[in-house]
Formats: sequence, C-alpha cells, structure tokens
Amino acid sequence: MQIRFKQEQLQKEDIDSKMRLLIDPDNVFWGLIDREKMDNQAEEKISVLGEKFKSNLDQSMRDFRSKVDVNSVYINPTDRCNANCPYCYIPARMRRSGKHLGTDELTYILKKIDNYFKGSSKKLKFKPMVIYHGSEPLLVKDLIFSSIEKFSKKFNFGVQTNAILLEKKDVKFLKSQKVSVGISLDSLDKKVNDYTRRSQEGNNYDKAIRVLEWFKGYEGLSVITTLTKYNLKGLPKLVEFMHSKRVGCFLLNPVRITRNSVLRLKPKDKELTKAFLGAIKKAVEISKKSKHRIIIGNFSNIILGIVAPSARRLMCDISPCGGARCFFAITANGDMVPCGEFISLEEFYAGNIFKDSIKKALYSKQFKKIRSRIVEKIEECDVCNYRNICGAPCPAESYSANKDLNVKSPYCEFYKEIIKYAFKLIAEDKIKYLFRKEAFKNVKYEYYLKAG
Amino acid sequence: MKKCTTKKTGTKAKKASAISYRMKCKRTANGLSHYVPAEKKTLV
Repeated sequence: MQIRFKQEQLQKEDIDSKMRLLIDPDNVFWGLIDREKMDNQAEEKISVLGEKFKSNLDQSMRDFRSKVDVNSVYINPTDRCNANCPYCYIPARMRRSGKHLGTDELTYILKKIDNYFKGSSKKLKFKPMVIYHGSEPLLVKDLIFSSIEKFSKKFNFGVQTNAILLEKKDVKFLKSQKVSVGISLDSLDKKVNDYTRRSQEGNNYDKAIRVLEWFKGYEGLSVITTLTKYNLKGLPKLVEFMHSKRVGCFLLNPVRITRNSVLRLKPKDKELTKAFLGAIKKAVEISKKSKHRIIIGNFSNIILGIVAPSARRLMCDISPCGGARCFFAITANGDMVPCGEFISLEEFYAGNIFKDSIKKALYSKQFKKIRSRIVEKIEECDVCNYRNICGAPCPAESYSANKDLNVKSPYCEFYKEIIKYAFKLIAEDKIKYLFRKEAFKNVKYEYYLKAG
Repeated sequence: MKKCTTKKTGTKAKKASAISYRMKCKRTANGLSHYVPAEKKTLV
C-alpha cells in the first residue's frame, strides 16, 4: 500500500511555556527549542537539518509502515479460561465452552507455521516467535510445554498467562527453555486486583504475587497491568513493587474498549494521564538511583517512536498497526484473525489454518483491510502532529465501538499528553533511565544537533 | 547520507537552546502487540 505524505513544512507546537517543538509529522523528524534561550537561529538550524535528512527519513518511515513482515504468531491453544476478567476481549461463551487444541492439531499448526517461514522470500534474522496466548493457555499446560520442547529449534516461545495454574516446576521449565513469560497483575490491593482479574477461586492476586517471586530477576518476564478507573491510585507503589521483583518489562496498558460493556471500566483521560505520568516519574526516580532499571514498556515504546521510530517493539502505536502485518492470531478452532483483539469480530476472520494457507490469510481482503487502516484516513489524526507517534490504536477498538475502523483512539487526549511528556524527558536527557542499561552503550546516531 | 557517528548520551541536553537527533537502532527481535521476548539486547 502506498502511503502518501503531505510534504508540509515543519509544524510548530509549544509543549509548554519553555519548550517549542518543530516536527515533520510524516517522518517524525523533530527539534526542540528552549524558548528562554532566545536563540534566533535555532529554528533555522533545525529546519536545515530536517531538510537535509527528509528524503531518508521519509523513505525509512514509508518502508516501516508499509512492510508486511510477519515474524510472530499468537496461538490460543484453548478458547477456554479459568478467569472471568470483565475487560476480556474474548466472548464469554467462547471462554466457557470453547475447544482445546489436540496434540496432533497443535503439531500440524506449528509445522505449517514453520513451513511458511521456510518458504517465505523474506528470511528472518532470528527465529520466529510463537506466543501461547489466551484465554488461558495453561489450561492445556502439558500440550504447550511438550510443543515448546519439540519445536525449540524452530521458534522462540512466549506464554501469556494469568498465573493461576503456574507451579514452581513450571517456572523452572519455562526459564530453562528461555520462554518469554507475561503475567497480569492489576493492583497491589488484593480486592481491587481480584475485582478486575476475577477467577472462580478468587485467588488471582495471591497466585500472581507468588509467581513473581519465583521469576524474580528473570530477564524474560513481563507484567501487564490493565489500567481501569479502579486501579489508578496505587500505580507508583506498583512500579516500586515491580522494581523490587526485578521485572524486566512492565506494561501499563489502558483498558481496551473492544466490547461496549467494558466502557464502564474506562478511566477518564485526565485521571489516567495523571496516574500514568505519576508512574513514569516514579520509574525514572527509581532507575536513577538503582542498578536495576524498571522499564515501562509501552511508554518507552512511545519514546522510541520519537527518537528511533523503526526500532519500536510494540506494534500497537504504529499506523498501520502490527496486526495482520507483523503478526496474526490463531484461535483454538483454527481461525486466523489479524490480532487477538479481533476474536469477537468474525467479519475479520481470514480463513482456517486447517484448511487454508497462511499466505492466503495474509493477503485476504480481511487482513488487507486492517493494513489499510492508516492515520491519514482518520479526520482528526490526519491533521495531528503526533499521528505517527501514537498511531491511533486500536483498530479493533474503533471498529467495536463504531463499526468503522477509521476512528481516532478513545484515548486520544491521553496519548497527546504522554507524548508531550516524552518530549520533555528527551529535552532533559532523562530517557536513558527508561531503557535497558546496556542499550545505550553503543548507540549510533543518524544525526545529532545540539545548539547553544 | 552522512556517516553515522557514535556519541555518548551523558550530555546535558537541558542546557542546549536546541536539540534534535535520530538514533539508529534496529529492532533486534520481534515486533509484537503486547509482549516482550526474553534474552535480547534491546532497548525496551
């Protein structure tokens, strides 16, 4: 798909009373000016630099946004779940009575994925990733663990779990296999956590806390906290806690409104922004003093969107997003969907892995439709200076609420504020505290201007 | 294109009247929706 850039001059925007931003919204070239320094030539210097690198940056952004570059597949080995979180994007009937994959079925899927990558013209520089996702994949623990052993030379594996069924020996196995593990914890307040992360036993909190101790210091662990109006209050303490458990990556994800009933959990933009930035400030404060960094992955990814756009890792804040482009998901029934978030939207199903080829799904009209959802098609985003930093997530959210993909994010104001804050941290040279320590040892710059 | 240079990030950017830069870092691992793989020397 050809993405047409506007070819405008640099846009000017005051981040606050002291700082002015110059930005090319198409390729995210940016410059920050300290207005108090009264350097009359600063704007000119930045404009000249932007002009010099424009063609390269345009091309790099075009390539990054238009590539179909699948490197990961999410598999739901079961459609069922032992929890009942009110914000889950998987329909309740599926979680209650969906099917499990059998051993032969999972082997068939993994072989088919392996053959797809072997036959692909684009050779990956690393092993493709298979992530067992949910519903709750550990309901079929034996099935997925044996597949991890069997296919360890073919894939890097990940497991996203609510941790309820994790036992100490499982943690040992996952570490030994270098499996990436994501677990969920919404609050340090047990009542709050077990309200949004419900299970029949009501012990989700206790299980998650116990598992965090078992994983302490494991580099492959990430923790997701889903931000709702119920858990904003304790975020700085939660950041401290995650740091004390040496969690490698911590994600603070605003709840996705992929079903109307979830709307009641949505925090107000202002309150969400305040709480989120409070958590970021705490993370910077801790990381400054400690030899271990606490990385808020989704915020660091926003910063990457500014300082190194094509190095972004999480693919939700790119337009088009990573769904149906960098990854796709497979349900336990074998249906191929652009991303797990689309599981309740059957109109985006693109064939079944047991009958259809992966290539056919990738070039189906359903997947193409997701790839054609770009910020330039959204009226408000088309004129926003930050359109290629936030990427207007998420298409599943837009479609669920409006039956239209081309609608801005329900968190638009939140994104604007956190991007402004990201620019402030860049100006204050604090972003090094938001990335892994070793990451900055040999950073190369395409260009670097520091005036005055 | 100008050959890329290596700089340390310890400079006090807040004292500058203007700043602009672009880092050259490639994704060294998979781009995912909400997941971070293990054992990779990546920024995030």
